[in-house]
Amino acid sequence: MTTKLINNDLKSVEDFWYQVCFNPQFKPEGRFSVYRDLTFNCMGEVLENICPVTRSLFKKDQWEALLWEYLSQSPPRLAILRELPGEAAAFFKKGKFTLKEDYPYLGELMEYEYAEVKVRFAPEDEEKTPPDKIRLNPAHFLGNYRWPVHFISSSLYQKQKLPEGSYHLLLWRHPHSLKIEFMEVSPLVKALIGLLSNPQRPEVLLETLAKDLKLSKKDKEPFLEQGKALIETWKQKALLV
Amino acid sequence: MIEKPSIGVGLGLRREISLNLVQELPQSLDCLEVAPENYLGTGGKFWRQLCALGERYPILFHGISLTSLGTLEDFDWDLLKQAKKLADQFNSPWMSDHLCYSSVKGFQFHDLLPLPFTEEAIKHVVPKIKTLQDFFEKPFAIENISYYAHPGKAEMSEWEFVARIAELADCALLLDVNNIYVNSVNHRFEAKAYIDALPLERVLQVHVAGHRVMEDFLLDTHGASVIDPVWDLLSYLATKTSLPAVIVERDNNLPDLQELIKEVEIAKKVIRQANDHKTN
Ligand SMILES: [Fe+2]
Repeated sequence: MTTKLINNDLKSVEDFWYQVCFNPQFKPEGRFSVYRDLTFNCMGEVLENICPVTRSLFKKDQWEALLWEYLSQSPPRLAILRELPGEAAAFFKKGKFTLKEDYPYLGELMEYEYAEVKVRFAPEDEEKTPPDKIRLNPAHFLGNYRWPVHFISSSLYQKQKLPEGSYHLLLWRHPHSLKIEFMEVSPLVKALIGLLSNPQRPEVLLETLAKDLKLSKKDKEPFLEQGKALIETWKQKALLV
Repeated sequence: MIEKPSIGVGLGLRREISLNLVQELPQSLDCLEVAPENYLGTGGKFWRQLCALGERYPILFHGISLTSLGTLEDFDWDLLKQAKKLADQFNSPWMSDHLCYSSVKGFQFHDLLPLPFTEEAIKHVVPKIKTLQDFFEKPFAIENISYYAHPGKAEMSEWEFVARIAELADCALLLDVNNIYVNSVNHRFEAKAYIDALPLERVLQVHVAGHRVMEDFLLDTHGASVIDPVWDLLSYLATKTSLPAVIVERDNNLPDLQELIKEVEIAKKVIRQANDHKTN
């Protein structure tokens, strides 16, 4: 057992454990290295389990280097281990990592993979929507991305063909079957969804939208028809509750 | 005086066995231990399973990274409030967490790191435990961890450290006999002497079996059945004091539920035999 390494006052011990777990340059001696391995492996496995596509893009040493970049620059703050990939995604989205030229979408991909866990564990919906109104299912996640992260997988991945753009990816949990549903949505639908966090009458909502879009009388009629049909479909899919 | 209700023998709830438990509601199971971090603020499948199990079994909440007793930082009060709400909702008879660091400077290790066994650490931890007991409005039990290296020079033995804190904080103990066994081998001491040195009237809960929980997503390689020396320590402990709740913990490499229930039944037998021995 290595005991002479550090002072035993609480301030020094905190600094020491911080170095052991979050500073890759610091080399813990003897059995202290066990703690570095335990924490690193634990966090690495959680990231790997929740973000398997992200993980599949890298070789083992690349992946470990990425993790060390993340852990040393932005150690996790959330006590809930399940939320770690969300923290890591936020770090990689800022783009301050070595491989960012080759993997500019890394943070977005990680966040998108983590979104499924977020939705799976979202709180129960305790609110009741009035029968004549509609409301967005609160157990949802809407990601707005520059990269089509929903098309990335290690086998399909071809960097040069990844088209940069604007992608709105929506996930939600069915309140009864608990199945996770996915949909890529247009900017218009994204705007519509934005109006639905509070209960709305569907007729009123569509009228407002038609007005905002300055639709002619001729265009308005089919717009309202299609809108009503769409809302019906979304109700069936429990995107609206 | 710490009140000792008799709850029985149970399992640590893991997502892998949660559905089976709901379907089978095993008779020989008396209670379940739950990590609040895995459920607070959640809904969905696992939450609904927990609610169903809570109808049938007493639930004992046991923190992993809830309190980080060692850290010089203040508690994460928001997290504690959510955990209290959960514990109250399920009527947890007490709360517990490990005597260790799970974070420093606000950064999470997602592992349990040892405190130095020093006077300063005792002075630091005792008022924190008292604060927690007041806050949760129920007994708080500290769990002994396994550790691989001591940070700096120890001023006392681990058992003296644990015993002094329990007495001064007037708190309960969650004794992990597996951790005592592991430490006794790693650091070469007599496991039974460790047990003898503790204020056993404070023991509310016991852990037997493999290694600690980090989080249910983890697939560690250390899951294994309880070994005989650990059963022996459970038996020894049971002859010395009453054990309100004993939890068989299996964190990874989970076998099917039947196997785990078998271990619950072995624990019951060990305790029964120890009690017979005590009365004879
Ligand atoms: Fe334990």
